[in-house]
Amino acid sequence: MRKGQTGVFDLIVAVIIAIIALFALAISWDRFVIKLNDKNEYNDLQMKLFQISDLLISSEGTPTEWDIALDPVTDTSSLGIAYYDRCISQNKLQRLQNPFTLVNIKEKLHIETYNLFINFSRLDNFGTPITIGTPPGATDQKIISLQRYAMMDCNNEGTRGEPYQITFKLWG
Amino acid sequence: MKEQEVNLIKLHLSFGDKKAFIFALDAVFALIIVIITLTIANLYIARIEHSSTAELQIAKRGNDIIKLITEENTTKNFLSPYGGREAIDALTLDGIANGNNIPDNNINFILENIIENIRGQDIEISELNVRMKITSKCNKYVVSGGGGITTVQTIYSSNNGPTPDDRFIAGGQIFYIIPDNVNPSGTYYCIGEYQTWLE
Repeated sequence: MRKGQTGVFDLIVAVIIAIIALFALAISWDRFVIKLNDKNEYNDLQMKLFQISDLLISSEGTPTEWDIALDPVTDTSSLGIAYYDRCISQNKLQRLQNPFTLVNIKEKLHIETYNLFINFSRLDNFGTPITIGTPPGATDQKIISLQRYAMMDCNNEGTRGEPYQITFKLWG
Repeated sequence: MKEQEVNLIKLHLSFGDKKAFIFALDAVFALIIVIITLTIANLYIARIEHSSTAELQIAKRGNDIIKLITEENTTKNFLSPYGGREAIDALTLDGIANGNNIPDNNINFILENIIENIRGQDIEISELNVRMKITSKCNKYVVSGGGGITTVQTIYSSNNGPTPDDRFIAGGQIFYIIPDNVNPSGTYYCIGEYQTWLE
């Protein structure tokens, strides 16, 4: 093989290797960006869900007795169904089911673009669970789920509230 | 420049048979660098898939359980060595002090007992996949004969079995009081530490 031919062959091989390397880099970069975006979206949903769960089960809402307001949907500026920290007021929970609707709840929580499902069930699965919203379907994706525990209706003096498991689900 | 001189310079600059070898070596080095870069990038991608915020879930759940088991106005006399006190702030602590601490770090036993005492009937709860260890340092301040105050410290621990080292362990602190309504100097002031992990 002559020197010229060797040089050209070397160039072709180098170009092929460079092209393969560039493709691999491009694919990796693309994958990296997709994963990063997914991760950010996932973290964002997760943080939102943490905040929603904290707000609902730890705060009383504003005004504190919004459940006895004439028009709770209009009069409530901030939602919270706790009687005190992690003790849920059954009355507030009932008001959250009616007259509030899922749309109202999402508006108050500023998550209009997301879907929300909350399930309140006893630890021994006794009785019918109390639910807000509709559970995600098989086609729904990127569903973030969070379990919390709280007591139900501890405002009866001298009694501890029944421990409940609360499952929050949020998805886009 | 004469043609002879040019040829001489070309001759000096030539690598002879080594030329192709150096090119190939260059390509190999480049390829190795690319492969290393891709490997590192993929390692980072793999690390991204591991969510750190998801680990916060167990921290939240652990804190919720602590809230449940240390809630005031539990049931009277439940595992309590202090007898008939209205507010048993530290149900777990009472259990621990009574030798009925958290078996296998399984918090379900405590939760089941709480519900049974509320309802007054035997129940079986859906097993929570949370395991927990609690250690509390409690001080009692006793007035001695000479008028001085003596601190009596008691350490309670629910240490039942090892803490796993292959998963995320969430931890936290709690501050609480175990009041003694009959003899106020018997009131305990406690700092508790807990560790929570998934089964």
